[in-house]
Amino acid sequence: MYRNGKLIVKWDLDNKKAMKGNAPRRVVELIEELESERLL
Amino acid sequence: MKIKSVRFNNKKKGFEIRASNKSYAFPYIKAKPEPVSDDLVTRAHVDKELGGEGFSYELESGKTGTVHVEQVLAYNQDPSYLRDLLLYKLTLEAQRRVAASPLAKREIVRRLGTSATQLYRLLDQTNYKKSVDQLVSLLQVLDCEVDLVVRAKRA
Repeated sequence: MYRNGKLIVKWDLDNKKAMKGNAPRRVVELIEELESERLL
Repeated sequence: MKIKSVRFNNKKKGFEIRASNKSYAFPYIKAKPEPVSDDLVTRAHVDKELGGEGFSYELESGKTGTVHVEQVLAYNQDPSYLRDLLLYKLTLEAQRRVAASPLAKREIVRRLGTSATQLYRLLDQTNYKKSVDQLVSLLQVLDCEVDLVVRAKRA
């Protein structure tokens, strides 16, 4: 996930963990929303 | 890793990427949407929205796609990329083992002969500056047997 061309987090969907960077709670919620909508 | 340049070759049906003074190939068949004979690539550029860590392309139909540099590194079995992936997997296993271990963290630190800070550094899955050797030592302290399996790549 990038913001303004900068990496925020590289997220491991299988293990639900950040592989690089840090995921603020809002970002984690967003990822979960996208997953529940089967967009990831 | 930032991409310096990307070119497409509709005859070879693949992209040619330059990054970190190396050249990588990425075949169309691995891209989504896949460029096909009646819908070939018309344009490809390094994507600034990805901080230069990916490229985007456009097809004759107007469809667009994006490829991240890690997809390119994975396809090319880049040694640094594979090393980081191994480190990540070992770290997750160490985290699980520490959580399940009856040993107190203080005891693990003592057996490792290191500091608490170093233990937390080893258990941080986003830290790629540690070595595989250090993680193997940690797993051994946790009473785990670590076997390394070396096998030929599949054709």
